[in-house]
Amino acid sequence: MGNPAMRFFALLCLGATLCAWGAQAQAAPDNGFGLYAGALSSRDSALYGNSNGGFVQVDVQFMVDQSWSLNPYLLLGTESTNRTFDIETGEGGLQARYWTGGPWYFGGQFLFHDSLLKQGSTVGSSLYGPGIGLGAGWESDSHWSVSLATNVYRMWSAYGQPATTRSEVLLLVGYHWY
Amino acid sequence: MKRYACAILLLCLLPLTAWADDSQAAPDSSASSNDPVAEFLKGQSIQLGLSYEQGTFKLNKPGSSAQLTDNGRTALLINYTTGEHILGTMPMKYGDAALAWSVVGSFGQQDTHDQINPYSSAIIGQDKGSRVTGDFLSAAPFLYMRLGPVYPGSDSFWLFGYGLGVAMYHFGGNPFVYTPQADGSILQTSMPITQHAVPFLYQTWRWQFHYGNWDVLFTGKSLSGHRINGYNASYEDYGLGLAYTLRF
Repeated sequence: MGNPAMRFFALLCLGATLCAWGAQAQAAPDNGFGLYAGALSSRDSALYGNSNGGFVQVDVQFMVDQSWSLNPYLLLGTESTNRTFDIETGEGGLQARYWTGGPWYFGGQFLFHDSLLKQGSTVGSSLYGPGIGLGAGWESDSHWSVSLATNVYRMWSAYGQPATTRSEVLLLVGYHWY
Repeated sequence: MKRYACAILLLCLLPLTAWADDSQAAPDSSASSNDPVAEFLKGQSIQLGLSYEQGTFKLNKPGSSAQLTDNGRTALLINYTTGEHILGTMPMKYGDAALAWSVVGSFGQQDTHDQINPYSSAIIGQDKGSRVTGDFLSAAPFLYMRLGPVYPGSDSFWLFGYGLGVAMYHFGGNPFVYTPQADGSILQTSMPITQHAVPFLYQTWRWQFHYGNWDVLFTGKSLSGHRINGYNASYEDYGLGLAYTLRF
């Protein structure tokens, strides 16, 4: 399981298993708070290659109507890269979700991030920028959810280094308090 | 100096208060009864709290620069906000999503005493004996989108917005300025500076969640647009705060 691709495949299998387990349940989305934890895998165009790590995320769900919701969220993550440094990431975004009427939803999000590249306890760079993404998830009647999201965002530096592009895939397991 | 800054703050609040009162005199027809948050935000408010934030002071000119930071600190959070002016709304299941603006006044203090040098971290400074301290008082129209309430009838909302305005900013100290040399070395020079209060361009971003009388705020502030000794001076501050909101 040391291979990042294998690790990500295992996460996908876990997500699919959890979704199948509760496929009969019907979600009843409403306003409330959500707490998530998960794993992510990312790739950067120039800086570090691949990274893997974990994160926690909180959101607030505001229903527009029975089919749509707006979910502002915050995410804090930590990752290990192929190189000699680690990454601490903070993201703040707004996701629009379309609820199918059953337990499934599909979403798109816009976000800003700040990523710190660390070697030991020394922060070598602070990179930031906007991003966009897509997501899909399943939420049970008991308010537990599993979702997948993918984002792509720019990483700008305040110190004149060329901007790079990062893509990431996230698997989230969470609970919503309605 | 703090007494002086507080006096300025109080004086500046007066015209903002009058402006906000005027706005309340004319009923806002766009604040529908389906938007209880608009009722909460009709009046003025003061946020008092604490935030953990990091401020970075920068001097830049071609070929030479200085950066000092505070490496993160706990700071007082003081914001004054006028009544809300709604530009547009979209009905939600509970309440409305609204695009709106208000005027926000803030007071901030700077105590940057850790030098970021070319051989150290990009954002964590080292104590090398240099220091720049200062205060600023800002006022900015603040455009934002808000969603809420979370629960029907509750005083709760989320907002994200951007403000562009002016800050009266003064600072002074003895930063080290770094100048790369032709032989590859870097020359370090102490440059005492004193800047009396002058207007700076002020920009602010805020991610805020409000529940009851409490707010959690992620804020960014940037002051720029003024030169001293040939250097472009700027100050940036990013923080996470918890504040209690007083409405009146």
